Amino acid sequence: MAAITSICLGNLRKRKVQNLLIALLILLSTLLMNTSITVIANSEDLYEDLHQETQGSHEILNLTQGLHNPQQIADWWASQEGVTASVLLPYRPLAGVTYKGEEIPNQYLYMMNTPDRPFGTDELVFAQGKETPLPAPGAVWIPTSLAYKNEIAVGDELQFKAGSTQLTLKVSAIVIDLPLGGPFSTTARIWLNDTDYGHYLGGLPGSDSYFMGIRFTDYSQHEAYWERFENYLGVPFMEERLTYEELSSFYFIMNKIIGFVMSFLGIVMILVALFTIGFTISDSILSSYTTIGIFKSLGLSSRKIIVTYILQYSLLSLVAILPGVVFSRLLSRIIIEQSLSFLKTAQTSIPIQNIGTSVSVGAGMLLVILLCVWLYASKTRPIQPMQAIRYGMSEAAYSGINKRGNRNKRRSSDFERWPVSVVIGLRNVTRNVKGSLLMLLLTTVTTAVLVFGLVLVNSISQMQKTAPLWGYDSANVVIRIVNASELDRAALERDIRADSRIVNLNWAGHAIGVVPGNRMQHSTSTTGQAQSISIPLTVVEGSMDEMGLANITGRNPQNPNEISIGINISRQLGKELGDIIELYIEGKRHSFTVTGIYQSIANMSFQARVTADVVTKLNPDDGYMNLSDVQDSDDIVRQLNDQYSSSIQAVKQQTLLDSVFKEASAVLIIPMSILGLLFLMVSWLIIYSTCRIHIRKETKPYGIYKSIGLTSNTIRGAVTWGIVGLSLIGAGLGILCGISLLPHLLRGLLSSYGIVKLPLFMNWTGISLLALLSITVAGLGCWIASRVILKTTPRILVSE
Amino acid sequence: MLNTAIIQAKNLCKTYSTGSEQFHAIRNIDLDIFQGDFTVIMGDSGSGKSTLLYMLSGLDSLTAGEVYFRQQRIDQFFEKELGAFRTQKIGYVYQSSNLVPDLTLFENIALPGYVAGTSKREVKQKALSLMESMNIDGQQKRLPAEVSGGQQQRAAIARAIMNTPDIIFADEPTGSLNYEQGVKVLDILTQMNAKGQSIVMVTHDIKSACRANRIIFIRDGKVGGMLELDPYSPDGLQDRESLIFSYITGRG
Ligand SMILES: Nc1ncnc2c1ncn2[C@@H]1O[C@H](COP(=O)(O)OP(=O)(O)OP(=O)(O)O)[C@@H](O)[C@H]1O
Ligand SMILES: [Mg+2]
Repeated sequence: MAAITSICLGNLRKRKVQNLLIALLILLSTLLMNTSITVIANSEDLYEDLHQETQGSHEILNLTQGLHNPQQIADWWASQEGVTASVLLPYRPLAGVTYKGEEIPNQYLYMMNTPDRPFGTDELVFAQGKETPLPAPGAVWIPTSLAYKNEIAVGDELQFKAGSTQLTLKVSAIVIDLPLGGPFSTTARIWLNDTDYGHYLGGLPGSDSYFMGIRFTDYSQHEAYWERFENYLGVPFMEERLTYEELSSFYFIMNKIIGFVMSFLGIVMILVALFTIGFTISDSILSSYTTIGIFKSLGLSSRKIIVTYILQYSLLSLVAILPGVVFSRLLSRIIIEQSLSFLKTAQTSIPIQNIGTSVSVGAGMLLVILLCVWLYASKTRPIQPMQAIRYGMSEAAYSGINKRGNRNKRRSSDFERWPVSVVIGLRNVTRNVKGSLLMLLLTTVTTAVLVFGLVLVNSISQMQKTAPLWGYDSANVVIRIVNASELDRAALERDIRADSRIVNLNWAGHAIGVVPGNRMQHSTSTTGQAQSISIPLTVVEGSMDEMGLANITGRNPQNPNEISIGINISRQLGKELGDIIELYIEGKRHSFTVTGIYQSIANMSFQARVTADVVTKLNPDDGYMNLSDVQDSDDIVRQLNDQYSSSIQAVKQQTLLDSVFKEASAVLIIPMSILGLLFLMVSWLIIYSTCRIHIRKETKPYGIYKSIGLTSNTIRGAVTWGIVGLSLIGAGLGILCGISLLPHLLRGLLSSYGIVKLPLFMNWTGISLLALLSITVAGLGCWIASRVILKTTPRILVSE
Repeated sequence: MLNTAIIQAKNLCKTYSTGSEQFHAIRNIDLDIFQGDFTVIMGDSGSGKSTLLYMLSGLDSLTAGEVYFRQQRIDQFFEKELGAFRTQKIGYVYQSSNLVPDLTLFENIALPGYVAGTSKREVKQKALSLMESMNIDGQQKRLPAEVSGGQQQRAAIARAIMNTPDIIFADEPTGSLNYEQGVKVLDILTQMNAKGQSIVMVTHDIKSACRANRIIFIRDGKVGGMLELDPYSPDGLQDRESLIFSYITGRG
């Protein structure tokens, strides 16, 4: 045993750099794997826990049209066993909100008439401000999503626009509104007390709308309830119904992307670590062949020698895995706090749970590593003591070395074809196949990570150019009617048409379409659903083509009986181009032919587009304008806002998309940069150490080259150019992976979110620069590793 | 041409430091090596022969002193100049052949030619003719490990004279060879010297030393004596050997 520990410690001490490197690789693989798993698991757990704690709804009904009796609906759900229903939450839509004199864009605001708490479902969690039974007079509670994004704090004042009235209210609390206040949400529920509500909003025309939450004790039973509910109604439920998936998925989408990228890279990193370990063990077995032979001749068994390696790497792994797990928990926290910041309260930070998972990830890593060590160390088994002592290698290897010439006989001399330094560089790569493969793999992965990150962030940042493919319009300026009663719409349209800078104007709004359940129809249909489905509709008055709405296949609807559907609708209903869809809109039944299928991130492609011919009441009503010169947008926006300040609100499309981009890229940039840096660092380290090992083995030839007059710098340059050439290939492959393989995988991941085509933007300058960066890092690693050559005096050739 | 110095050493010193200890391997040597001579450096093991040789030939740095090659001071050369100097002016032969193990004999021999930037055709011709004269033709495509030690050493000599250097340095070139092979190598060197090639060879073998026309004895890092002889001829070898022997013993 003493012998074992002494060899083991000796090994650890002797190859300091190599062992440090391996420890670092293990640490990083643990970091990546555990972070990815922790991020994915925790975002779900975090959401689930809060959902549980707040009695979160599985479904939310949004009653806006007065097609059903709200009280009747609320009563029915409240009376069901196994269902918790909220009270009715009355509200009025607001026209806009101004903070510190600036209009906050891209928000649908609902002013809630706060009932007595608890509501029954979706209880509010107070993130900042004092918890009171009801908002104080003149004060509102706003959701974290609105507050954090716009850096609104308790005590700030907000100006809300409701019809023609302006109301200034003070923020007294910031609350987590789980169902409607998630990442990327464009809705915000503002909570006001009943007195103020009546005072400020009572005078508005029209009647209240209602939200209502439904929570099932057993969610899998929800379809049965809906069947009974619609039986009770006698007609399909024709208002908006938000499902659990729609309510929850935006909490996960970013973390899924990050988790995906990280676990992918974690696996790559593990492979690199295992490869390096194998490489190092083989190398150490070869170089201590004689020692092992002597130990064996003294009676140490192979098993004991293998145990020394296992011991050595267990020690190394433990030293690396523990900090890996600790760091990964910190990193996960950063990522989750970034992406799920809306679930954060002032008092409590986001808890990172799953110590168990972390422990099993660590244990799994250890197991995989030791298995690998065992496999490689088993190479010592066949060592024959006599051969080892005599040849310093196995007899087979020894005669192999002397036979190697066969390979060389075929080729004519490299030197006859290329300059000496090219041959030296080339041989440094080809004489070290395993090491070169490893370096190739690393430059490939590093470049892929960098390029993919750039393409992703760049594509999101350039969204205005690809807006139609993300499901948005491509209009230059949007006007929203905030107070229809005061607007002379004909005059507005006349003004706009008279303005030669404006090319066209089309109107669009929202409505709800309901697909009736087919339980009364043919129940044999596999794609059919038992209960009705409510579909958010984009209703266009004018030309969808002019608005810039695009389809993945097919075309935009032009006639009253045509519809274009989102991918997830197409999937759920099993409808393709040319199929017929029956829809209830505003309680009337229509039948549409599918003319196009499109994708949109806004609603996970769960929406559809129809022409205005079938809808009477559009809400809200937005005008989409294209300009002959985009430069004029600012002028036109200012002009319209001045002229019609009381009734419309004009915005540049840029402003709207910026708010989406800001959120997505903020969440992505940190993890992507961390990953990029990590991989740059690892690839530098691996290339450095691989080159160092290899160059050390080759000091003698380099000494000979020097003695015949090559300078150190010539040799270093040659070796470095060889590696640069190798990394050039790696970078090329990496670019391919970064722009096609990884996006392809990501597409697979996003497919369930209704994104099947990624409108990617290739920034070739950036891509080339990043490829250049990873090549430079590789070259630098090699150049620095080749410092040994400087110190090699040809005199070492004498000491034989 | 009579007695022109090709290499001059002035006040040459070399100190090795191992840890805290300092070891003075060469102490204040002044020395001239003459054009066209076959100079042999002799001395006990550890006396500093190799150290001296590598300092004279620009393979190793000096602790103090000056080394001139034809009035050009080489110990202050920049690496680039030193490289060109090694390629063009100097050839080395070591105790073990020191061929690049995975280059063929032909490639090893041709290498200095390629480094010097000679045209590929010329290099090929020269290398092949050298192999022929070294009696290793037909082995072009063999690796060093696939030929005998003597053949390796002859290939090393061929490599040393590839660029027709002004002077050849050899450190115990026969040390690892058996008698017959050793004699072959010495014969080649002698023939080259007869044609005017300057040679400096380190040896501690009296038979090898006989080839010289000038022998420098090194003792404890200093020049311990010098012996001038007639040019070598195979006859009278016996006398020559005893002359050297008595010189050594007489002084020891
Ligand atoms: N790198 C070194 N560090 C310390 N001492 C050294 C070093 N190289 C050589 N020496 C010492 O310098 C002295 C001269 O060494 P050198 O190799 O020149 O001897 P030599 O005369 O060639 O001996 P041999 O006949 O055995 O080859 C020796 O005593 C040796 O131990
Ligand atoms: Mg010596």
